Amino acid sequence: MTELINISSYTILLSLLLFMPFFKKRFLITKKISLGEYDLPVLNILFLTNLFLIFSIFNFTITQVTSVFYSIIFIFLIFFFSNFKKLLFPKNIIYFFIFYLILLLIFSIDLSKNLSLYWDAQKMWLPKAISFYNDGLIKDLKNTAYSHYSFLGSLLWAFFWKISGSEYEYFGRIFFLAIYLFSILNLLSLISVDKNIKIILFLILTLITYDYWLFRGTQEILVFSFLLILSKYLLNLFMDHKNVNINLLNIFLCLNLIIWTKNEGIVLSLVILFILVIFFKKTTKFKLTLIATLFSMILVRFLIFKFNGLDFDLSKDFEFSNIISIFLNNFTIINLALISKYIIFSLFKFPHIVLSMFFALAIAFDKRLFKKFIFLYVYLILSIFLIFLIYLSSPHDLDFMVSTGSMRLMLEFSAPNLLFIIIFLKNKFKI
Amino acid sequence: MPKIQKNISLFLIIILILLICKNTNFFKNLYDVTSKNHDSRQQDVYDFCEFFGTGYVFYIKNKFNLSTPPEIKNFERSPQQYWIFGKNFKKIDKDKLIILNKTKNTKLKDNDFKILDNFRNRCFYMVKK
Repeated sequence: MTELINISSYTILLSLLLFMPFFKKRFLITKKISLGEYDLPVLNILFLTNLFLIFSIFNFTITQVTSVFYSIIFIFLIFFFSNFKKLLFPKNIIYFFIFYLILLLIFSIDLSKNLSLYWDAQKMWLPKAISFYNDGLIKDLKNTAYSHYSFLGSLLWAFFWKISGSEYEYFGRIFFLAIYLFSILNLLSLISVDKNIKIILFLILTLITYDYWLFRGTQEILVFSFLLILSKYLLNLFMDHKNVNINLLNIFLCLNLIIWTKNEGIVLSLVILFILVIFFKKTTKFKLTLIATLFSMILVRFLIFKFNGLDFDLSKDFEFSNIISIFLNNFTIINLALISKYIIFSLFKFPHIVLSMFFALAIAFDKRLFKKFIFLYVYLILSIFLIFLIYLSSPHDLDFMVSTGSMRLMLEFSAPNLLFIIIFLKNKFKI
Repeated sequence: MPKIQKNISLFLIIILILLICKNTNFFKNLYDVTSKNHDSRQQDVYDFCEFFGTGYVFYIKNKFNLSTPPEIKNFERSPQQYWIFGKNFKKIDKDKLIILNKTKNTKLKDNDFKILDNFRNRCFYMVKK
């Protein structure tokens, strides 16, 4: 019973953390920015997660970060109660907060019952999380397996495990649930419908996307969630020409998190950059600034790894010196069919991908819409192309590699495809 | 929104929440979380003495009240199971040994170690004599 009470109170704490507005509107840099009721919490959580990363880069231990965190929360609570009326806290948010909390509790109970960790989680991610949890620093990761892998997921796992006050690791994974649910709810802010309809859509989307399989300690669900948050701002950027700076800020904050969560996140961030450069109607100088920003972020990631004595490789599963000859060698009909087979399997594993493809097809028949949202189709093709490229460049047993990894890749790359559903609903029902 | 539509949407919300509860076995999970402790739930979800042998390591950890991990040797290809011992996962006690998935042809170091637990001649817990 004590554990159940701990889970309940922890889910309330996490929900409050993700929903609280930490900024007063007038504190924001420019008055031209008009933020929606969802955008403030998004900014909060993106800043907060990036802040944890910066703290770890500057060799703060988890215990120190936790102390800073509790201090900030304490100051915030004083600020909150003394400025309650001046803060942005729309009524709708409270309504969504309640349903968010209910779902987080249901899924947290599922997590606390299932508990099993996937191979990669046991071998790579949990040992890294335990190292951080025991006040290990980035340089200590060289004593863990796959030290060349990005580690943000393990850092967040350790931090949220620590602040829970519990000895059980799964409390850290409850944050993965929290950010996943938050990203879905945030996506739905793109449509203007009655709050009950929005809750129904929220429940349907979680019903078709939730599976304990995603929360076995692997990091794909984090990439999926960050990419889903990013997708909303990518759509806003292309459709709504207001708030360019804030949309770009959110996109780059998400990209930074993706780069530090998984190594393939670096490639994924380049795909997003490609979409931005091609489809964002701005001057060449502006686009060059975007390219320079992302490349600086990637460079910083590698420099921090080098500075802390961690492996510099992007992946040990590839032989980069022979990658072209391996690719050409693997480029056979049999291998293409094998990868296609697992991509089709993943459609059955994740119904939201099938649904997205269905709506993508429906939108493709409308020339005007197709032209308007062509960047999403480009992303779809690039992401599938990337999966083929990754596996065809692998020197290992392709069957093993594809069977163990392709579904997870499909899942993490699939987040922006959910926009097809939103766009279809928006245009069909004018919402 | 008209009242009838509001009622229908509320009804749908309840149905969907119940569906999510059913899909995740919410009520059974709730019962298990309140009635079983963390370690026995862990033991339930993993294989016992095959593949990773996670369930067996949990069983030995609880039975012998171990706080630091013994050396673990698994004859199946699997990730190391030291993570089960949480924050002490690096403090391996070389005087204790867990053998997982021993095959018939493999010989144990009977002379050096005393067997404290033997599960179907496949998984063992031993301590140095």
